[in-house]
This record gives sequence, structure tokens and C-alpha cells, in this order.
Amino acid sequence: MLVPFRSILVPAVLALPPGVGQDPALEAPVAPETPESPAPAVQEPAPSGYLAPDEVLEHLRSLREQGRMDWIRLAVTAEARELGVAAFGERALPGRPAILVVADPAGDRPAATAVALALCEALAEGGSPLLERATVYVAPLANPDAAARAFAGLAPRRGAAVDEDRDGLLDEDGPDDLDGDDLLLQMRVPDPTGDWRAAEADARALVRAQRDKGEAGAYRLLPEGRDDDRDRAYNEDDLGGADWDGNWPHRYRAHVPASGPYPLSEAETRALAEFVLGHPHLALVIVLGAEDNLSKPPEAGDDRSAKATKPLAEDAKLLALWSERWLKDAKNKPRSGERGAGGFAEWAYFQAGLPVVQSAVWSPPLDASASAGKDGEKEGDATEDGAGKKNDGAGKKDDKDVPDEVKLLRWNDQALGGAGFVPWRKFQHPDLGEVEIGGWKPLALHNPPAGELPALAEQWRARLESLAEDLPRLSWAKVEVRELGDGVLEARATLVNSGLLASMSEMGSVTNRPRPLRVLLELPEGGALLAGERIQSVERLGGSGGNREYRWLYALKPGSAPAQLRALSDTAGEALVVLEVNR
Amino acid sequence: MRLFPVLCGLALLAPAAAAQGGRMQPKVEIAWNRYYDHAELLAIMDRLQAAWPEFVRFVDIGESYEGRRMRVLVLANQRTGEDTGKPAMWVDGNVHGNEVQGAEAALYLAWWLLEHYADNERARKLLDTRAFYILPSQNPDGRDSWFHDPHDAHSSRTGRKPYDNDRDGLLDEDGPDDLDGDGEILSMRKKVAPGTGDYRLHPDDARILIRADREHPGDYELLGDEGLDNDGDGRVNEDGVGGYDMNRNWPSDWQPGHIQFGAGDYPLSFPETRAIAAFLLAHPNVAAVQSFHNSGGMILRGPGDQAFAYPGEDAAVYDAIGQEGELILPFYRYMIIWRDLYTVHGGFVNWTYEGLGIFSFTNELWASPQYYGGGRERPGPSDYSDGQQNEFDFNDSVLLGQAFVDWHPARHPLYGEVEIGGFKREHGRVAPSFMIEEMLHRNAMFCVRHAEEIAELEALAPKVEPLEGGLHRVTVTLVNDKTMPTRSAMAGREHIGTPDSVSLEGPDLTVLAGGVQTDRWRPERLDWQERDPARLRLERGVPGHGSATVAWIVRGRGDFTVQYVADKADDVRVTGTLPR
Repeated sequence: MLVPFRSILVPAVLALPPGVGQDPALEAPVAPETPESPAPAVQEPAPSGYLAPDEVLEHLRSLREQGRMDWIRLAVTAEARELGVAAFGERALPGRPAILVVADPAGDRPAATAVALALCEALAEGGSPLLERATVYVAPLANPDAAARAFAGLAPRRGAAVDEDRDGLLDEDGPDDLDGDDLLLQMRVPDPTGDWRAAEADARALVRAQRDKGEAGAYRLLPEGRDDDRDRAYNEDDLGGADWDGNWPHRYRAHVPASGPYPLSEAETRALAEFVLGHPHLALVIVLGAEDNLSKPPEAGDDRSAKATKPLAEDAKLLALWSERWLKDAKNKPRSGERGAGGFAEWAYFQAGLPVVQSAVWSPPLDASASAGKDGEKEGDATEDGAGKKNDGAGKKDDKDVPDEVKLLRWNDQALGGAGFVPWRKFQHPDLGEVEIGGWKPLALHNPPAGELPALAEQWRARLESLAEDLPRLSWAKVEVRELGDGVLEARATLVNSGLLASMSEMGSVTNRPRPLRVLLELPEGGALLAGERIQSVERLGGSGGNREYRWLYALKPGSAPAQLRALSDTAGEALVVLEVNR
Repeated sequence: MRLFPVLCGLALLAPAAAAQGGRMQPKVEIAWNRYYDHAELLAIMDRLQAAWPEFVRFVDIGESYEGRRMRVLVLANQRTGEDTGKPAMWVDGNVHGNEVQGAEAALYLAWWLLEHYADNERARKLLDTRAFYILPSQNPDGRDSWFHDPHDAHSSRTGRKPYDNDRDGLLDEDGPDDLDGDGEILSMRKKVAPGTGDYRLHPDDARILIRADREHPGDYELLGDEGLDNDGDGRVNEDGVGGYDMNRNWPSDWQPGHIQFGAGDYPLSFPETRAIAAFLLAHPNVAAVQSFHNSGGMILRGPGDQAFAYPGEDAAVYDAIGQEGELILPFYRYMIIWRDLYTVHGGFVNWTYEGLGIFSFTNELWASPQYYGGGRERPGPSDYSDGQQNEFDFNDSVLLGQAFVDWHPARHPLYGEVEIGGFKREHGRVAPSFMIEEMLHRNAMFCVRHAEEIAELEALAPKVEPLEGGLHRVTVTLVNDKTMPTRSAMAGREHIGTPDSVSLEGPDLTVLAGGVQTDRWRPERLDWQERDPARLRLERGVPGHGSATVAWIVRGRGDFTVQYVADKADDVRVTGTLPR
């Protein structure tokens, strides 16, 4: 299903405003022969063994056609793909707590999609104890168009064309596959004013020159491409517009083209927002994507404003607990990508008020000198991806000064047999003169060899199943009913949540979005409330035995049925007790 | 914008009709001393369209939550060009359903300009060279409910999309109730044992309750709006219909409901706001926005939050128009929303300026000092709510008691014997009938002045100078004698919309370089553009009451044309010739 990206580019070229083709400066360049370097072989951008996004959709279609899962169609994308949510247990368990898994928001994590698809298959098998307690929703391909573009080797963007460089032309200067290998790689351009230099340990690796330590730069680093519109900027007006994960209302960055024209302007994001807001039974959201709050759980904060970035204390504790439980034996501790503004996960937490777990699913090990078989257990704390970042010292002593980029290249050489990184090759660039083209293949740094996927999927299946125990669960305890004479009764009871999760997140009690749980005293015909409240609401009942005591005085007619006590919650189910007199 | 032929002025004028003041003979008679529900507004629009078909067309931009048609009246002389090719002004009203009079003000503007096209040169120029997009009501559902359901002056601010205000899983189940069946939502009060109430009767006027104090023990309790605890949850009137604020639902600095009441689920989450936003995003020719609200006598502009700062050039434009507005509108003051009123996140005029770069005002129509003589000596917004006695005097002397429902006994299931009474909805926020037309006219003329100050360019004759090597420098100055720039500084700073462009073309010449001249005495100080020098892009446009000068270095000879193209101003063109 690999779509050669040239064919994808055609519509964008056609979309240029009239007159563009007449500008001689914009006519397509002809890459000259490069005597220094033989023509490279055509290569696939994605690690082999992955399903293309359209194959994933086909797979999901067959699962639902077999009647093994429900499918909620949320939107149809600009490129006519379906954005949908697989639903398990929804029809059998209306009113029960629900979990939503959202995979690959940015479109460049086919590993996240593969894990989510495997979860769908496991849940479709039936017999999951989790489905006896909860409904599970899985959006395996949250951003299908971007995923398809990324899988074909393009920048994973989506949406309508935007004139990023404000020259009146749309999408006229994106990256170009200059050397004809079907990959959009990087160019390193010899330039004494550049910010980059080759690492001592590995000349393939570029690290930032630290001028304050006397290091001079030697290269400029650019995406592979020409200055198609001749404005001395390279690849500054790429295909597409909004980034899916920058289009959400929390910390939305206005007037940034990648944010989209306004929050939730895109069909995909708005449809998912409506889905989340329309499902009050959601108790937890799991996002498999670029960011991670499990490997290195975030510290708590107290900011409740529109600029907040840190979870509130109670919610941070929960993440720390899951981090401890879930990653204790994990071989791979994924490193978080840089936390972006305007993302889905922050919206789901800070505005929808839901607990949100984020996992980057997998990161290439930085255990540089280890063999390929030993995964990165000794790696340092989670750091951002990116070339040249120094290891923070937690690794082996010898490796202390080895830049991450060099370690990643060792991993590439040992574990991938060099397949993730295209060695730099000289190329005679029509605008820049002699440059080198090479670097990481687009998806190589975020997605493991396909052989590692089943173990990752099994890990996530087990984590998901363990949530059956963690979801909030209500019961009544210490129920005491005393007769005071003349038909007057005094009732006391304690409502207990025996799950790990509170009835809503701490942030939920700030946002007022999740509904409070309600405690109802139901008196039979002729009964009269003498003291107490007939309806009470509890904003948030803590987890792990969180409880609250209630009392009432009421009178019943002789011979009437006993009163009942009912607690109702969107996320914790229902608890009912008949108020029989204690004898 | 399209290029306009120069209008041939007075030759088009119809013979001066006896058409002003008391002798005016309107082509379409509309009673401007009353308010209209949504269907009646549409009917007025139809009458205007029937009378002036070449000036009025409609664009239906969507439907409200309850399915009412949201119809924009496009006002422009179609014989002088499509509206989309002209700089335009957007005028709306009534985003808060109870703030009804903005709709009449918006339609009055259209009606007055149409009636005076023939006899007023300035009306004619506006209709020939500008377009107006008029949406009388942003919130037709809230409007109609305010007219036809029991309400007070303040209720029906919301739209009608159900919302669970009390978070009990039930929607809109406990709103106010018209207990006495008189069609009004009034107040409830109850006489209690002396010394057990917070209020007592005003010694001179038993209609008024005043606070009890140490010397004067209270014997009255105020019990809020007429209503019941419909859902039995121990609270009265806590979840009425809707329960949100569509003027907090716009994408600029939008913040969720727990930070700001009524914001909606996310920006543009309501069908009404979304339809309006889609229209405005598709009409980059809109250069001015007016949104009518009530009340308090204000000419408001952003920012809505202290954290925002507007560029100084734009603030000066706002000041010029706003301060003139204070003179056009006695009793109104020009104010900054966050500083002089309150903080607003996600307001409409905040978005149209901060998001779309359009100069935008919100007028709060009607000021209570207009009621009665004493009021005008009480300056400051806090006094507006302090004029209770004033308003009773007005009710008694000017309306002969029409505005107030006297307290009368009623039975309440929870409170027992109570009294119900208070001002009717027409009092307090909307002008009384006999003062409506003045309110509409003055506000409409404020819109006219705003629209008249939309940028208007003149291109001075090109200057052609010979340079070494057979080259020439062509210099063109564009002058704008209006208050507004072609692009607001906000649009320039935030890269909103399409930059203006100015191009030089000639059959026998080649443009080698071009750019904005930054020093009028030193022509070599040229901020030249990297590519495509024949078509210069001006992110900042041409300033208000100012000019911009561009220059090109060209090779060749013969005639050339310079054309300036802007979204929010008419295009201008000028020609010249290079020597042979």
C-alpha cells in the first residue's frame, strides 16, 4: 500500500493559484548527475513489516463486518478516510465506566496504531474480564490522513493548504526528494556559520556546536529540498496546514499556521472532542503517541488556569503509581517527545477533566555499547528525541560524554543492521552547491522493528486488563438503621469507593465537566423525611477506600416497605442498599 | 478588492426630495417605536428587499439551534459591483437573546441608508462603494423566547441548546416559573416576623425594599425570581433553558466554562457562532464590525483581558472613532472592556479584531440616566444600578405606572404566602417605546461614521528617475486620508489574512528590484523584497491618515501600470511612462 509520494504531491501542485506555473523561477529543477555518489536505491520510509494506514482501516472493517466489535464513525477525512472508534462492551454495559484509547495523534507513530489494533483484536476475541466492568473505546488511527502521508514518507500534516510564508502561493515550497531515493531526508550543508558539527565519536552524527565552549559550527542542517519559490528559505511552505495535535483548545496558539484557523477547526479533532464530551462515562483516556507521562511521571502543579501544564497533586500521584506498576518490568521505557501546546491530551485533562495516561510506546535504546538484544534498561531519564542531546549521565560511565545521536547510530548499526539511517552522500545541489543528503529515515526513531510489536501489544493488553481492578467502584458500608419509635427511623451509611481511581480526577472537580455522583434517599409511598437531604451530590469520592458518611431521620407508615439508598455515578456505577432495621 | 471607476458625483443624484425630518416620505414605512420578533424582522428584511432589489440581497448562513433561519442582509449597490469586491462592515445585534434592540438598530441602518440613497451624497457613496453585512439577531431563539415566553429584563440571555447547569444529568429542568400566570417573571418577597428579615419597606414607597439595619429591624425577605424547585433538589431556578453565553464562545482567548461562565464546550461550539464565524472567515473584505448589545451606554472595544495589549497605531484608530461616538451618542462612554467593564475571554469583537484584524466595537444600547432628569448628574457606572428611586419616578411620571407590576399576594409551595411584583421586561435594559427611534438612529450613524473611516487610497503620480546604466527608479506613493489603515497593525503583527500587494507591470520593461522606501530623502534606503519584485507584499499596508512609498528599479521603456490590491480597501491603479 505504499503510495509513492510524488503522486500525492500532484493535487497540491494543481491547487496552486493561477499564474504560478508561469513563473520561470518556479519550474521544477532537474537534479544534476552527481559524480561523487552513485544514484541511491529507492527505499521505503517506514520500518518494514508494518501495516499501512489504509491496510489498518481495511483490517478494522473486516473485524466489524465479522460482528466482533462495534464501530462508531466520527468523521470522514479530507482524503476520504474514516476516522472511527472501535467500541467493545458498549451495548452490553450501558452506564458502566468507559476507557478510551487514542492512538497516533500526530500520524508518525505506526507502532501506536499497531498496538491499538492488537488491543482491538484481543478485545474482539471476547472473554476479557475488563469488559465485565467497563466499555472500552479504541481509536486506532486518530489522524488517518497524516498517518498515510507519514507512511508514504511525507511530513505528517493534514488539513487545508496554508500559505506559511505569506507570499500568495500555497504549499509551493515543501521538501523535495532530490536524489530520487523516495525518501525525504536531511541535507547537511557545509557552512562555517552553521549550528552543527560532526561528533568526534561518529562523523555521521551531527551535534550542536557549543560556541561558548570554543566549538565552531561546520554545517547547516536542512530538510532535503530546493528553494522551490526562490525566496532564500528552504521548504518553508510545506504541504497541508493544521497539526492534529496543535488544534485543541487548551493552550491553543493563535496565529500559528500549524494550529489551524481556530481550535477544533478540523473535522477529525472536532469529532473526537464531541465524542469525548458526549460520553460522560469515560473514566480514563490513554493516548499512545509522541508524549509520555509514564516513564517519567510529571511533577504536580497547582495552576488551574488556562495556561496550566502540570497535573494536580492527586492526579499526579495516580500517574506515579501506574508508572511504578506498569514500567517496573518493562524492557523499554519510552522517552517523551517535547510537550506541545494545543494538544489532545492536555485538553482531555485540563478541560474535559479526565485522567489521561500518555505513552510514547517505544523509544530506541540509548544503551550505546550494549548488544542489540539488551534493551535500554540502563538508559538515562527520559529526554526528548533529537540529535546531539547529551546523555544526562545516568548511563554507563564510559558513555557519559557520548552524545545521544551517536548512541542512536550504534543502535541503528547493531539492532537494525543500519536500516534506519541513510549514510550521508554527496550531492550537487542546484541552489546550494555541494551538500550531503542522508540521515534518519522519517519513522525510524519512533517505531521499533516490527518484530518487537507483539511484545509491546501484549504489555498494553495486560495493562488495560489490570484497569478492571483500578476503575472506581461504589459500595455501601456500615449501614445502620435504628427505630426511634412512632415509626421514626434513623439511618446512617457510608459510601465507599474501593477502586484505585477516584470517581473523577482532581482536575475534573475543577473543570465541572464530569458530573458529581448523587446519593438518593428513596422513601416508599407515605414516607416522610424529617431531617437530612433527599438528594445529595458528591463532587469527588477519592479512590482506595475513599468514603463519606450520611445520615437521615425519616418516618414510615406502619407496614410500608423499607426505604432505599441509592448512589449513582457515571464512572463508578451504581450502589443500592435496602434500609432494613438492624436487629 | 475590485477596482472602482470614479463615481460621477452629483450627476447621479435624484432631484432633492422633501425627505428629511418631519417631512420625510419614506418608501418603506416601518414603526421604529417598537421591537419585533424574529419572524417580524425577516418580514422587514423582505420589505426592504422588495423596495430596493438592486441594493438588498440575502445570504442564509445557517440555522439556530431551534431551527430559525439566520439571514444576513447584504446591503450594497450591485450595479457598482459585487459586495465581495468592496470593503465592508459587519453589523449585528442581540447575541444575548434579551438584548433585543440591537436588531432594530442594525435594520434601521439599512433602512436609513436606502431611504436616503437618492438625496444624501454620503449615504449614496456608502452604498456604492461599501458593503454592509447585517445580521439583526445572532440569537434568534433567545430573542423569540424573550418576546413570547415569561421572562424578565435579564433572562433569555442564553441560546436554547439544552445545558445541564446543575450537573445532575437532567437538562433545563428547573427554570423560573410564572406563578401568577401574568406572562412576566417577577420577583418574590415575603413578610416575616419583625427582626427576622434582611429587608424592610422603604418608608416613602412600599414598592421598594431597603436593607434593615440596627435601628430598623427587617420584616421582609427577598426570595429571588418567581419560581419553584421543579426537580426537588433543594434549589430553586438553578437549571433553566440553555444557560450559557454565546458571547464567550469565540476563538480569541477562549477559556472553558469553569474559568468563565457560559463559554460553551469549545470555541464555536454553537450552531449560531459557528455559522457567523464561517461567514466572516469567508469575507476578508470586512474592515469594520459593530455588535449591538444592551445596556449601560457604552462604546466598547477590546482587549477583554489585561494580558492583551493592542498595538498603539490601532488603539489610536479606536480612540478617534470611539471618542467621536461619545458625541454622537450622549450618555454613552467609550470604554475598554477589561479596564472599564469586566474581563471577557472569547468575546465576539475580541475575536473579530484579535483573530481577524478587523476594527470592532460593541455598543451597549440604552443608559438608565436617560430615564429621568436626576440621572444625568450621577456619573460613573456604579450609579447606573443605584437609580431605583429614579426609575420609580420615571415609571410613575412618564409612563403612568405602565412599567411596574405592583406587589400582589400569591401562594408558593415552599415559602407559603408571598408577594410577587417588579418591573416588567421592557423596563431597565431596552429603551421605552417613545425613545427607541433616537437610540436606533444615533447608533446607526455611529456605524456610518465607522464605515466612512474605512481606508481609501489614492496613488500619487509615479516619479520616474534615470539611474546609471540605462536603469530607472519608479517611485509611487499611496496616500490614505481615512482613519483606518488598509491593514490593522494587529493583522500585520499576527500575519492575519492576505498582505496587501502593489505591482508594477509594463510590456517593455523588467523589474530588477523593488521594495518599500524607508527614507524619503535617501531613495537607496529600500527594504527590497527577496523574490518577485514586480509584486510587492505589504504586510502592514498603508497607515491611516498616512502614506506608504514603494520604489522599483527597472530596465526597459514605455508605459507601465502600478496597481495596489487590498482585502479591506478599494484597489487603486496609476499609470506612467519610462522614457524611450
